Amino acid sequence: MHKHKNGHEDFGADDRGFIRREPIHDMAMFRQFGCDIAAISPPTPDLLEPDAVIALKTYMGFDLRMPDGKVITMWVFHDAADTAFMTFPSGTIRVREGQVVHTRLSTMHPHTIHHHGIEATQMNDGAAHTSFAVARSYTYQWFASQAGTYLYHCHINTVLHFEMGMYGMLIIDPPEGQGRVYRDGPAYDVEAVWMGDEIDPQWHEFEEDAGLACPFSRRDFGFNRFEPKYFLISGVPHPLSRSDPRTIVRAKAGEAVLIRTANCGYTLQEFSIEGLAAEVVSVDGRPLAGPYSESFRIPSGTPFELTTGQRMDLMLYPRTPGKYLATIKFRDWISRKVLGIAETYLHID
Amino acid sequence: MTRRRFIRYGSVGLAAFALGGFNPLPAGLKAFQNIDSSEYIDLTIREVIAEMVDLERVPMWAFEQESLGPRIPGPVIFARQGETIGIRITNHSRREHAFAVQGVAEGKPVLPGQTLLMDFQAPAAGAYLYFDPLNQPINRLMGLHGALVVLPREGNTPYTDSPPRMKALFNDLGRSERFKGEPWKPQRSWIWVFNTIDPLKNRWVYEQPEGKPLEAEGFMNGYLPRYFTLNGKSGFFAAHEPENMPSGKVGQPALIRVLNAGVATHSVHIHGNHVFLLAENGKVLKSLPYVDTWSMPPSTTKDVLLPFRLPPDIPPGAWPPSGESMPFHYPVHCHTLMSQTAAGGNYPQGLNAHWLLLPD
Repeated sequence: MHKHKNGHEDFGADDRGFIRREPIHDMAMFRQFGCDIAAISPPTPDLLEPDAVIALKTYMGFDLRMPDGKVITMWVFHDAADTAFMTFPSGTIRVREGQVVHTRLSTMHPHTIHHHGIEATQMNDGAAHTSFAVARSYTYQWFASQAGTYLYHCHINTVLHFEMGMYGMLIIDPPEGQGRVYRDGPAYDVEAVWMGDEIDPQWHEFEEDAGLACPFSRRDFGFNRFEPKYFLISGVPHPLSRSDPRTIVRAKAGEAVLIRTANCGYTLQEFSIEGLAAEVVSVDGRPLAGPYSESFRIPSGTPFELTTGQRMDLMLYPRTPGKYLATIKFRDWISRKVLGIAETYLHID
Repeated sequence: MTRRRFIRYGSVGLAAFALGGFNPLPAGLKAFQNIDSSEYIDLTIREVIAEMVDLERVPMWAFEQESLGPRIPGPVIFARQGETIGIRITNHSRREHAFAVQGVAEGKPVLPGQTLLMDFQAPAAGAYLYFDPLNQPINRLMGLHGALVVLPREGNTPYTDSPPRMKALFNDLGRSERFKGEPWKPQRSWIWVFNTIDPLKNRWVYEQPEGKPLEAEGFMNGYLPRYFTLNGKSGFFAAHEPENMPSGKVGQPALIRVLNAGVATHSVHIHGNHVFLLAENGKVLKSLPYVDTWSMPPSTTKDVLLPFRLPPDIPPGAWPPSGESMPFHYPVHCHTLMSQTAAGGNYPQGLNAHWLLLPD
C-alpha cells in the first residue's frame, strides 16, 4: 500500500476516483442531530384537556438478576406515583381508542418518550434528533386513533437506551374497552404479551451519552457489535420464562386467546408455537381487515419472524387440553446464526 | 505529478439513466440522463476511495458514467416493462467483474481492460437490484450495486398486473374519504439503496493479490460493519439529502422503493405515518399490510406506499397546529439500532432518512 504525498493511503492503483463526503454546512444543525442535542422542558403546544393521563419517571438503577446469578443494571420508566414498584420492561400503557392522552415524563437525565407506531406532531413524536431531549419534564400529547399493539421507548442515544431497557408496551383498546383486538374485531377471553429481548452485558457499563462527541467520537464503543448472553420474554430470562406467570399462558379449551408479540431486541426473533395454529389479525396496530389486507393463518409449529419494533397480534383457539411449547429463536442479524432461545408454555385445561 | 488521477466530486447523490426518456423523471433526481432506447447504458467499473461519514477512507468499487463520475450506489436505471435494456460494461479495475439483475439477467465476467455488451428485457414493473454477482457477496458490498426501476406501460399503479386490493388502494388515493387529496403520481417516487461497510474487510479485498480468487467465506468470517449507508450516505448527510426525503402535503401519496445491497437484515421503522407494503422482489402482494416497521433482508427489494395522511394521532382539536410550526420532520430508520451507529458509536450517524410533511 502506498502513502500519497498528502499522508493518507491511496490504495495504489492508477486512475482512482475519490468519492468524498460533503462538508458540514451547518454545525449547529449537525450538533442538534445527535452529538449535542439541546435538553429543554417546553410547554406542550396546542394543549388540550386529556381523557387519560400517564405520568412516568425514569430510573437508571434497576437491578435485574439473571439465572446465572449475574445482576444487570437496567434503565426503566416507571409510574411517577409509585416509586416502589418498578418493572423491566417498563409498565404497559393502556388507553382506549378515541381518547386524548397525555404522557407526562419527569426525569433527572435527558430522555424522551417515542410512542412507537403512534403518529402525532413533530414535538410529540419523541425522537430527540428531530425535536429535543427532555431536561426535566414534558407532556407528550397524542390521540389514540386505532386500537392495537404498540410500544413506547426512549429515543435519545437510542442504540444504548433501548438496550438498557427503556421500553414498554402500549395497548390501545377499542372504545368499549378490553375484550376485542380492535373495534368489531376478534374477541378474546385470555390475553398474553410476549416481548422478545436479549441482553449483552458489555453494553450495560456506560453513561447515557456514550458514543456521542462532536463532530464524531473517535472512541469505539462497540455499539455496532451486539453479542447477547441472555434471552428474555417480557423481561423474564430463559429458562425462567418456562414457568413465570408473566410469560406462560393459561386458558381453557374452547377459549379465545390473544397473544400480542413484539420484538424489543436487536436480533431476528423467530417465534413458533407447537401444536396450535394461530391467526394473525393485526400488525403494527393496524387490523388485517378492510379493503386492502386480510388476516392470515400460521399453521401449528410454523415459525414466523419479527424484526425489531414489529408487533403481531395472534388469535389462538385451542380445543385440546395440553401443555404447548412456544419458543423464540434469536438469530444474528447478519449471519442468521441462532444466538440463544427462550421458551414458554401455553397451559390449556 | 504521478499518473494517478484523484477525481474530486461534490455531493454525490443518486444519478439516473432514463431509458427512452421520461418527462418528468419518476423521483426528483438531480443528476440524470435521458437516453434513447437504442443506446447502450455505459457503465465503467473503477476502483475508488470512498469517504465514510466520519471521514474514514475506505477502498471500494464503483460504477462510473463519464459525465456523472463514480457513484455508490450506481446510477438508477429507469425503463419501461418489455423494453430491451442494453448495458456496456467497461472494466477499468484490476479484477474481473460481471453485471447481473437478480432473477432477470446475468452477463459473462469482464476481464480487466475489457468491454462487454449485454442486452436483456426489462421485466415486469417493479424495483430490482443490479449488482456484480461474482464472489457473492463481496463485489456487491464493495459498491457494485444499484437500482433498476421498471415502470408499467399503462395503469395508475407502479405495477404491470395489479391484484384487486392493489387496484382498490390506488383507486382510493385521492378519491375516498380515507385518503383525501391526490392520486399517486409516478413522479412522487423515492429510491433508497442500503449498504453495509466493514472497512477492514474492504482493505482485505484490496490487499489480496490480483490473481488470487476472493473467497466469500474468508470475507464473511468476522464481518462486522462499521458504517451503514442509504444511497451512499449516512446519518446527518443521508437524512438531510433532499433526494432521500419524501416530502409533500397531506394527501400527496409517495412511493418509496427500498433495496438492500448489504448483508444485514434491517428493520425499517417510519414515524408519522404507516405505509402499505406493496411488493417484494418484483412480486406484487395480494394483501397489503399497513405497517410502521418492515424487514429488509439482504438482496431484497420492497416497495412501500407512504400515503401522506394527516398523522392520525394528532388530536382533532390540535390541528392545524398553531403552537408548533411546520413542516414536520419525521425519521425513518432501521430499528436494529447497531445500524444507527458509525465506527462503533456516534448515534445516529447510520442508516437514516427523514420524510417531510409540508403545511397545507
